[in-house]
Amino acid sequence: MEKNERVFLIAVLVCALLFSALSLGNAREYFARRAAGAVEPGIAGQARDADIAQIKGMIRRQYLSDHEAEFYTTMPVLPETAPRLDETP
Amino acid sequence: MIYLLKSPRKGSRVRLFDGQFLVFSAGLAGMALSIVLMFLYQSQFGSLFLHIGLITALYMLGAFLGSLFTERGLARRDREPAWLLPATILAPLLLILLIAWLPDVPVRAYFAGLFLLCGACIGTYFPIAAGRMQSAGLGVAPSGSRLETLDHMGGALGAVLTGLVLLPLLGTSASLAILAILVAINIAPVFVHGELQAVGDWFERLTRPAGYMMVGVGVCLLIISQIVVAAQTGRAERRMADAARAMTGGAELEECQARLPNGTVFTYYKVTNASEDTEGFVFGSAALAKGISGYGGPITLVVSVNCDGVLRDFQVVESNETPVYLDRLALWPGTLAGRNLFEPTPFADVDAVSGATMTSEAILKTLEASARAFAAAVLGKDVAGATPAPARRLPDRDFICLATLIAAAIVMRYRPHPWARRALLLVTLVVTGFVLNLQYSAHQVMALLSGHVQSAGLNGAFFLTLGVPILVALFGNVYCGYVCPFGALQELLGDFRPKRYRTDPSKIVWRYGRAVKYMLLLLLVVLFAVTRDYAVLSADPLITIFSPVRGRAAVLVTTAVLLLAIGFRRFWCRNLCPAGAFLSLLNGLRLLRKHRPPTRPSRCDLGVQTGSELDCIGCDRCRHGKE
Repeated sequence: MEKNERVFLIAVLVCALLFSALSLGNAREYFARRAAGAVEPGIAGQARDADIAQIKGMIRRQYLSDHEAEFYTTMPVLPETAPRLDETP
Repeated sequence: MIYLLKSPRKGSRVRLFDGQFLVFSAGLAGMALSIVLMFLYQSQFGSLFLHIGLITALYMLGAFLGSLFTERGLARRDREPAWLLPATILAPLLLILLIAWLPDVPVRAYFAGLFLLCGACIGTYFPIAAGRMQSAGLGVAPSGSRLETLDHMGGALGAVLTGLVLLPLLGTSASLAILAILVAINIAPVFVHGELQAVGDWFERLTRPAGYMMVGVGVCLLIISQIVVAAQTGRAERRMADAARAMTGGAELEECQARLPNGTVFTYYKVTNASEDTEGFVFGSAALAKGISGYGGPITLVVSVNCDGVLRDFQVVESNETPVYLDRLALWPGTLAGRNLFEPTPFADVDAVSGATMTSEAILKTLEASARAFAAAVLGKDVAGATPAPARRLPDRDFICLATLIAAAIVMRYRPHPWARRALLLVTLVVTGFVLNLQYSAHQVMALLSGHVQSAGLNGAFFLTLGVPILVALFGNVYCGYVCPFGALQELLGDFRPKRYRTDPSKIVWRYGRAVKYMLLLLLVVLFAVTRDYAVLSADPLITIFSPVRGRAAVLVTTAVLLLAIGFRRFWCRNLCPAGAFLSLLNGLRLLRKHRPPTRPSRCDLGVQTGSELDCIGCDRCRHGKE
């Protein structure tokens, strides 16, 4: 392989790497933008925002089941005197 | 798949690949169908885990019965009957239809039958696949082990694909449709008989299957991406709701609906204050302003106005415009706020934004037309003045220019002359480059591949997106050879460079470089399929090279390749251009090959070695006599 051919191959490789790096950088920016706009998952005991209208829509379109599974058992009703879960004893 | 089907057979009537793919796809489809069925069972009856043993037993019993039936049928005959394979493909397709159309109130026995049938349908494939492997010359032990291996591999892939990708993203209907396609592919060997020519050295033996594989990967990704987008029902409504919330700063929004004169029902939002008085409206332009087009097609806006029609804000929620032009309009909405859209000619004194003229003009027209339609349909107001006219159906200046240049290029292919060619390249550079800023780029490739050819008129963007690929498939890659302004600039640079800078590599070395552009095309296809965002393509210098608005990245790449084009002829086009790679693939279709003028690849000074190569751009320099 002659010198000009080696230079040619290196030039192609460098340009291709540059192009790939720029394209991947653009994709990274896209994912960063998307992540910034997404709803953060609930952390440290804080409730996560839920889009009730969307959930209702999903149930209507049968994307979610509208009834509980058979193996769930009904929770017993606690007596009035029992301490509530969010109360300190 | 196509490559393997077209590959030469080794002295046997039956290809080994046919049997192997049959059992692989059967394993994949069987596992995937059983997971879909289990998912549906869980949705209907809840307690899947209680009956998982029975379900598995039914499936395996079905597989046994299916295998037994086919095995007995084959044992009585010397060769596989012609109807057997189509019948075994038809059976799972019918099963998929049964699953897709479950009765409204299914009973457990119905599901039991489906599980049994699912196993039976898949079991029928194994004796056929084993028979094919034997006919292809594979021994009993290797056939058995290969059947087992491929079945397990297909099953694992089917479970991952269905459980983690298809069902969560697409739901049952789309998953079943994809599985039906996979099963139906097995009919292909009946129809595909062509054989590839014998290939040459190691590089060709490597690149040819790799090329087919890359095309296959790209096509599959784009199909999946399209399905995912199509499956996202309510995406437009969600975007509009998000934009409405963002523009009204947390004010109370009441969702309302109205009927347009053409019968279409459209949704808008009423903005109310704390005392429940209406303060304004937010509406989308998609249904209200049809036929208005920017550079890449219609631009969908969400518009916020007060009760009198005074524009508060607007957002572009969907468009195919080049992102760098839309970025130029980032601060523009603020300058338009305060204008009354219910009055005649609200934007009479507003100039289009330089560098994004078509886009900004289309936005102004869309604002005006949608506000008028909204006022008439919802508020019953009749706004005086003329509604902005939709785009013309007649070809515009850009369309005519491109069509004329392509026609001249096709004519010149039959009457080649070096100086006539240079003159045409110069005209191309000046007219389509510096004056009109019209060049085929990765943007048009992705617009075509994602079905975004929604131009309201015969304009330059429409010609580039749809016309150029069709013409290339018919007449060869004349676009790259004659009508691309960046290609023209590089070729003219190469032709008029001093002799001491002429350092083109030999054809053997050049082919390594030429293969790189196909990899870059695949990279862009993958990134676009994953993100569906045109901004990921902005590294392609062709998008903005002749535009006054250029990204820093594009300037960097352009400068580098122009300097290199002095030393190596058409450096960008031949080695790196992803749009050129796409047109080269279309060039391979050779639809009018008998009518194309013959070329002399041995004299090609752009690296082409044989007439069957995709990279010939029909420049006819090989027919120009001695240069």
